[in-house]
Amino acid sequence: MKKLSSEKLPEEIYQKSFQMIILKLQNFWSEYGCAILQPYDMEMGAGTFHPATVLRCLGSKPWNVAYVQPSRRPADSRYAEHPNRMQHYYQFQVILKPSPENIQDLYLESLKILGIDTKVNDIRFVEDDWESPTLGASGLGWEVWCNGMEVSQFTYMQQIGGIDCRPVAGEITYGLERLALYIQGKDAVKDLDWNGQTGEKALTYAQVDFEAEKQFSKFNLEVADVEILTRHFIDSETQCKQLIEANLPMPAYDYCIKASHLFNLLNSRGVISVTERASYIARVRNLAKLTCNKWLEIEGYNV
Amino acid sequence: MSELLIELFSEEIPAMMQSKAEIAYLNIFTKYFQEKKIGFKDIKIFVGPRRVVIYADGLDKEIKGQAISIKGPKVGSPELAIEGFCKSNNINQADLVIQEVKGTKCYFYEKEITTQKITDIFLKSLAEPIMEYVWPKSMYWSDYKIKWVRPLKNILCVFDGENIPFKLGHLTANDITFGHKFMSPKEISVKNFVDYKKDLKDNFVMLDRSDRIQEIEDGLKIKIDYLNENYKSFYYSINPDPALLEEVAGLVEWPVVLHGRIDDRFLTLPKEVLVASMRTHQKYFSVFSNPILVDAQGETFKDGESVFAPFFLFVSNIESSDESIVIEGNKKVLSARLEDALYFYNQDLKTTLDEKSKKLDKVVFHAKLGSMKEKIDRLKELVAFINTNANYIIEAASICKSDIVSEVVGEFPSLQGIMGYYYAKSEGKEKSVAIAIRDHYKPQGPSDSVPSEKAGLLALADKIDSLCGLMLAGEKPTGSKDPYALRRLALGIIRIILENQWVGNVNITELVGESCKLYSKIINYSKNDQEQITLFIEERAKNYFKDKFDNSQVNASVNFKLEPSLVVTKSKLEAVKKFLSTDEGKDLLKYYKRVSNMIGSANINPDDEIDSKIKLLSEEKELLKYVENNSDSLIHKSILGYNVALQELLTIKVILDRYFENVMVMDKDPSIAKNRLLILAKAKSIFNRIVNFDLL
Repeated sequence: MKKLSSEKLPEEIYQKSFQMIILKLQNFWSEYGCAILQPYDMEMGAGTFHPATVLRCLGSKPWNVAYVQPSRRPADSRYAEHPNRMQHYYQFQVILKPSPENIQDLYLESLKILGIDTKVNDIRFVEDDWESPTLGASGLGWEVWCNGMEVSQFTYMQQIGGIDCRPVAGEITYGLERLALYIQGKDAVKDLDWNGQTGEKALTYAQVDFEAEKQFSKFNLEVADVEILTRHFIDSETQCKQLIEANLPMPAYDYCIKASHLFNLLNSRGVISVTERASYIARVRNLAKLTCNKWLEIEGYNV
Repeated sequence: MSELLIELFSEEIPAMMQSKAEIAYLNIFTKYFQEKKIGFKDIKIFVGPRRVVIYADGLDKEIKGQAISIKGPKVGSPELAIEGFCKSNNINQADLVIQEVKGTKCYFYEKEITTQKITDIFLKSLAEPIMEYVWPKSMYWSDYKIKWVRPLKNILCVFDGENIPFKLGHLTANDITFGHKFMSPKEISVKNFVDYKKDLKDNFVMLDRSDRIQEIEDGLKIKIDYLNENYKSFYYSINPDPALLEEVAGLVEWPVVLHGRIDDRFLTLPKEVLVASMRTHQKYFSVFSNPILVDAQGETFKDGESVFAPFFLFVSNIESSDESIVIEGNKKVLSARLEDALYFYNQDLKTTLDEKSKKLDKVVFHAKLGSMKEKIDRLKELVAFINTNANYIIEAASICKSDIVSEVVGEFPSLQGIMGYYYAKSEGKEKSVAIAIRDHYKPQGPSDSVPSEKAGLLALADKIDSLCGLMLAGEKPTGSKDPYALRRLALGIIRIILENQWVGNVNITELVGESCKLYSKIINYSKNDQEQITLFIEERAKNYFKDKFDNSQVNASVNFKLEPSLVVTKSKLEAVKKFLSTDEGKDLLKYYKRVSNMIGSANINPDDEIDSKIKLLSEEKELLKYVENNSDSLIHKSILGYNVALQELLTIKVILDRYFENVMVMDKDPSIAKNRLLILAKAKSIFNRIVNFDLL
């Protein structure tokens, strides 16, 4: 990849836009044979929380999908002032079950499609084991560095909801903003070119998302009503358990995700002490476990 | 003589697991060859980012056949025993022969072992030693059945140029390997180790970790030389970091050292923050520089204080066709990291340490022991208990933990104390306060230095408080498990007292007592609990002294509860060591042992009264008189110094010389013998006023 000169051809700009990165990834994985799914319509901390990962990585059926997931981490709220830390961002998630022999090569191939030449750039797989205490999930893998920047997470899922994953799914999570920063040669997320247009159609990441970023930062850190959040957490927990009783693991899982996000909000409001924190995490993990077990049961597995 | 080469080719192996695996595989394969009775000359193990390589040479080609007799039960043994013997050897009774062993007839099985080809043994069993190693973390992948540290992609196994196609899970060993992941990912067929190593190098893989470390060190040196050539007003040197070197060598197969410049605006950050940001996340090496000055004679010299230099050195895994892209990319990432650090640091500077300390009631010290705020309150009292004049240390104590709630320490926990130092300085606190905050975590290990007088006081109080609290909370270490590093805390306490030569109010029993008292509001404990803590420190003190003194001298000299102080105990040990190295000292010890044996074998009660009706010989009178007159004075003398006290004991030696010359202890008359033994027992006890001679 050549450094961007000041005279950029419109075509080059278009090809490197934020949305084009997504489109190229979708195309690449679609051609590989993945089903391209849509984002899940709920607040969640990462693409992993999508039921297409949590529930479908369980059980023996093959499952190959890719999707964008808008993700929320209230504790990362910075009022749109930080160059690359936001409470709302986008992940591109790929799940390949069982993990194919050439999964690393496929991933590197996808980087090439995005214009990252692996003979020029220093690509590294650096140990980074993944664990989600709220999902009772864990996996082994790496963060992938491109010239020192973490651009993706690469994980072999070992456990979800406390249940062993067999066969094992490979999960690739592209940090879309990080990748775009690199590809577009920008220093701050706000300056990312969103749609590759010039003139009055041109949109930056900040123009699309940063008003929301500011408002939600205030909401997450200052305004969110702790009493309401606490009540909703309890309600979500109760609803989740009722739905499991009713043999409806998928709606139950929605309420597990809700509980998880409410916990994240309470956390960003700074009202959870260390001991409470552990107990909240244990409660969400319990919901995740119950849900995953019920899902496998409904799917006809012996649990 | 033959050679065996195995390469387990996998996806990237965590850097921190590699050296440990090298050591483990060396043991495993040594044991494997021994068990299989395969002779070998040498085994080498290489564990790198993508390969585990086992190379053995000087191997036998075959194990010669032989006949061995296996002895069975005696003739006439119960049928069950004979059957059992046959069964365990997988033979029939008809296969047994009878031989005589020392006049007893026994059954024997004459077993024929046929000549075995090593290749057959390897083919059957190589998977076992390979799978014997349990990685600290291992995983399943795809739908395969085996577990490995990361997906295992290929196995190469050649013995004298021939492939041994052993099976491991879904894989069958072949004779191919692969070059560098990006620079030369092609298949390479392998015949022997020499070619293998060379072919790898030709394809951009340095097999040997020590070669990679050397390459990186050379590369770093070239960069430093370059800086010194080009920026003459400074003398540059690398910030040595062996752990980082080791880690980086585990991240690359083809190390290429590059360097970049750091923006000057980040240099307002403390050097420790810069180094931590660079090393923790990015694995970069940092550079320090000393200004080069000119003295009155016109000679140049480097200034003593080294400062952080605005460069970063890093190791790439590729000879890029455009290095500038790699450097620019890394520079951008580093800038973002330092931007974060700067933001955090500036946030931290907005509040004082006093203000920060108010947040400490939210920080848990230990679930059973309350918050850090409570710890601070105890520390202030403990410091005042140790030294009532230490006002500035009480000030330091009240803010020594404040940096825990700072943003920078949240990001880099290893900078606790150090950040407190900078924040204290920036708000204009006295330097001694800042230094006490910085150094109160020291010593952090046996090789770390001990804080001096002033900071040492706070360091001592903090360690006593943590040790007592955690022991009362039931966190006493068991075996190799010591999650709270209590042994290190105890050792720190011992070293602070000894290296500062504190004899004042630092009696261990009293310190522990006071510290426990400060916990009495939040935790219940018994007298025994408290004693356990003293005993724990005593045990550590013995271990500490045993590194420097003879074991028996330590056991004899370190008395219960370390009374009156560790410094005294140490001077006692030094005196004992010196004393027992002299001939007179050795002779005296012999006398003591002789007396001790006599009393011991005679089985008398030393508390019995001496029979005054029995007439004493003059030597006996002399000995008795000495003992009665000096029993207490010896203790007084030992306070003056153990050298003096031990010298004094030599007086008794002269008396004993005369005594043993002229007195026959075991007299025919048992009552006289008993009387003499009782006098000797009294003499014996006087020795132990100083050290426990029984243990010497």
